[in-house]
Amino acid sequence: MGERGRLRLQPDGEPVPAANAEELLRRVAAGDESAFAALYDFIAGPVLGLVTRVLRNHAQAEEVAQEVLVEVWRKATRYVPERGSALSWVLTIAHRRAVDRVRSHQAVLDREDRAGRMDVRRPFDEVTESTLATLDQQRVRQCLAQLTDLQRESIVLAYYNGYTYPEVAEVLKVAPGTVKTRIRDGLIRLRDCLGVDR
Amino acid sequence: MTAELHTLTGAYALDAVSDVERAGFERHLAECAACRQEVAELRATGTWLGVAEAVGPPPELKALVLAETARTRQLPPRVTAPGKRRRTKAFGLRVALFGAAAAAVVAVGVGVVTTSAPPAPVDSVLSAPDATAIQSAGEGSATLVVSRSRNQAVLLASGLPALDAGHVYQVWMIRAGEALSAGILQPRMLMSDLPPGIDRIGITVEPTGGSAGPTTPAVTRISLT
Repeated sequence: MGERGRLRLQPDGEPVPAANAEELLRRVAAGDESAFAALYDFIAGPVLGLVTRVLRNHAQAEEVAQEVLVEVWRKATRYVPERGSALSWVLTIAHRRAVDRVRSHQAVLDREDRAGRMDVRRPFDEVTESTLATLDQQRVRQCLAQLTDLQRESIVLAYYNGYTYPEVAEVLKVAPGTVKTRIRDGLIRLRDCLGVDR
Repeated sequence: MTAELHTLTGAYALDAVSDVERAGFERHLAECAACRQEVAELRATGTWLGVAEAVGPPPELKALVLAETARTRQLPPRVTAPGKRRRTKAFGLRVALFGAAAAAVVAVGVGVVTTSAPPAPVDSVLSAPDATAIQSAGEGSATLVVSRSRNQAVLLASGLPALDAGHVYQVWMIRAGEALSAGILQPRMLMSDLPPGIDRIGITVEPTGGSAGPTTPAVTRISLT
């Protein structure tokens, strides 16, 4: 994700930190607490927002967000800059944790009511309306709008609902292999539209 | 890479695979540089979807996270090349510093400070040089961070059972024969000045609005001595 996208994330329009997130994370890996406090200010909003979106439950989301943020401290030594931006690394951890929580919870629900899962789907309009009109969000929204319906719905259900691609296929009534390729094709189009560098 | 496996990059990047498929694909990734590159790019693309959902986190989340990291050891780095393993700072020092950081939450005057207080004073109290974190006994999990030089303390509570609308958790500072109210816990953090001679902190369930003195047994206690 580009520098521009990152820096606009500062809450309350606060000034951009002197050090970038990768540099902060490098200092956190060396045990620097003040760097972690600064990194927190940069990542907490996206982490909590993403986890809330996936879990749909504020109490659970805050709990998971707290776990994710502590995990960032704990695993900072394992961050490899060559594999991606610091924010991408952090949100990968956050998404995985949220999805794990959804699936362990879902396993319980499935035993009770296997059909209940179908009700979770939301139309795309509702999905986009729930986002605020910041520049980043507008840009994501514009790029999502350029995908085919199947690409967009597959990505939204997989990422925001935490579905596996066979679950997405079940909801959309298409073959799993089709969803698999549509997710990839859609992400590649998104990548090019957003100008993602890494 | 085979075409069949390659198409999994997108689903893998979005965590839309089962644990079994993930493990299989990661074995493939280890041998496929082009796949690793694509996964990194598609993950970064997914990052945009996450960033688009960013919200303003509640101020107490930062205090809770800093209190937790204060007692969390970092993993050692993975060593890939021969040579000396890098050591992170001594754990004890980190605890002391972060304990100080947690204490920084105390900041302002006697009684309850709302959780919408700006984070900056919290940070400054958390970094007080003599701040110490003390764990609770009893229900839930509470951490008291004390700065003696500032005569301030901050209480961070989590895991206390939810109360009905008619009741609140009230925090008491206890010294010889006397319980002084530090205020109502709302919802998980409370900052207070620390009067002389206080040797215990207790949390009780009280009617909404609070009581002049504790009317029920403490659900959680913290000893300062």
